[in-house]
Amino acid sequence: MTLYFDSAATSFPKPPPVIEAVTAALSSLMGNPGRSPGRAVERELFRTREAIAALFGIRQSARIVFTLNATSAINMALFGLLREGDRVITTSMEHNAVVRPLVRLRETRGISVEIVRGSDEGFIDPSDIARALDRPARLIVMNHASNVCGAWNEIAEVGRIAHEHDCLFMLDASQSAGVIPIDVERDRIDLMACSGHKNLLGPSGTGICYLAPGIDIDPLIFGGTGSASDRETMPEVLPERFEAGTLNFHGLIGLGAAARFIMETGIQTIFDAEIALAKEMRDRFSMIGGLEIAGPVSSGNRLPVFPIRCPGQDPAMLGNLLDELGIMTRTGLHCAPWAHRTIGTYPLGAVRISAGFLTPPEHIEMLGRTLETAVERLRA
Amino acid sequence: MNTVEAMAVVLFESVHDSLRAEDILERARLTYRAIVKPRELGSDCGVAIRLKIEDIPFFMDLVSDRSIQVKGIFHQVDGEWRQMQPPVGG
Ligand SMILES: Cc1ncc(COP(=O)(O)O)c(C=O)c1O
Repeated sequence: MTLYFDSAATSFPKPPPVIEAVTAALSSLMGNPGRSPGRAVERELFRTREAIAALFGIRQSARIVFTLNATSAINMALFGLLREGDRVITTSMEHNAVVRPLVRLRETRGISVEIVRGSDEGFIDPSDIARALDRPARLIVMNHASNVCGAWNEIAEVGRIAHEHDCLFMLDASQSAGVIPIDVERDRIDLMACSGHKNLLGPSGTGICYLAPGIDIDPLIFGGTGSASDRETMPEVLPERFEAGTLNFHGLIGLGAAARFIMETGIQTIFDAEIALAKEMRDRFSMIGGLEIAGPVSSGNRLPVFPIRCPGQDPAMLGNLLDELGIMTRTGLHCAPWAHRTIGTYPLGAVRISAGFLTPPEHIEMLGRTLETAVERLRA
Repeated sequence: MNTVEAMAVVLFESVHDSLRAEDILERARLTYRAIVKPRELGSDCGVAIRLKIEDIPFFMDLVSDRSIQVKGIFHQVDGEWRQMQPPVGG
């Protein structure tokens, strides 16, 4: 038996309605979106858009663009928005999905990037962002919750600061969407990217990019949209402007079912459960002698994501041993070398143990016992 | 008046707005059909919604306060398309 503790990479298991929706779509839904009369597919995609909109307080669901994952959403947003000479503020907790596009844009478009450093625990202090805004900037881009250590930030404060300084606010909600309540208006989010397969509980191959009203960016991908086909340029209207090519509609139909599952369960219920889960995991881990936990010390602003190590040892040894003992985790730098530097686990990285809302509660206890065994063996 | 002439065709500014309109029509239990836009009404292979002419005023009430952008409403008279209603929404 394998226990799954890699939820920060992708959630598992998926809710039954998601599996049912994808199965039904694969077995009985005919057509290709935008390219067939009858419109069963378009209407399903419309339902998904509306469900996602409801989840994030988005008034115009047309401003939600479907993408393949968070990475393609972030690329779409950054390459579509940033121009020669723009100044961008980001943080030392970012995933390479944000880091690499920014570095590329620095090389090719001469943008400047200022990195606000997170604390040893992985938190970003909004006053540091305010300080970085002493000089004008076009954009602040940051993640909501860290994929390395689960630290999450109060973003409404960042949104407020951004707007006071006439700066756009873009959120990478990959780890938080589906767990931490997000309201794009309250939090003053101008652009938001996230994947559909993590805490949104949908299938892989799905992601979204939200553009607030008034945010006008260039498309990154050009091609057929099934609309305005007599024109050689991309349509002006959203979402088609950014959705060239056949979408992963089977997956997106599953994402719609997932979003409805989250709404029906209640985002606050999920949030409370995950915070409690993080606390429980922390309490268990901290009782294991010889195990070091990086990231937030108090569990209040922590999702159940834990980078752990045995001091003085290569984390790969612990990761491999856990694998042999039937615990699926992820060892290394988790596509976020900056974040590991910030919390002091660079260059070896850590074993990341991450759980989610649908992790069976009894697995937590089994994990605790197995971890104890593993650490004992490594110390012997 | 034959059956074709009892029907109107509504065009929208975007596919998304036409889907929102479908959603509203469904909820209001009006009979309609999503059709391929007749060639004479534009060459952009868009989608249109066909419904009964008598339902148009009710339909316009439903969409007017939802900022759905209707590009035009047409019907056929003697085989020719005529605009019944100017564009609305915004
Ligand atoms: C914070 C963060 N941003 C971006 C990504 C990229 O997500 P995806 O692999 O779905 O593109 C991830 C996932 O690994 C992430 O945790």
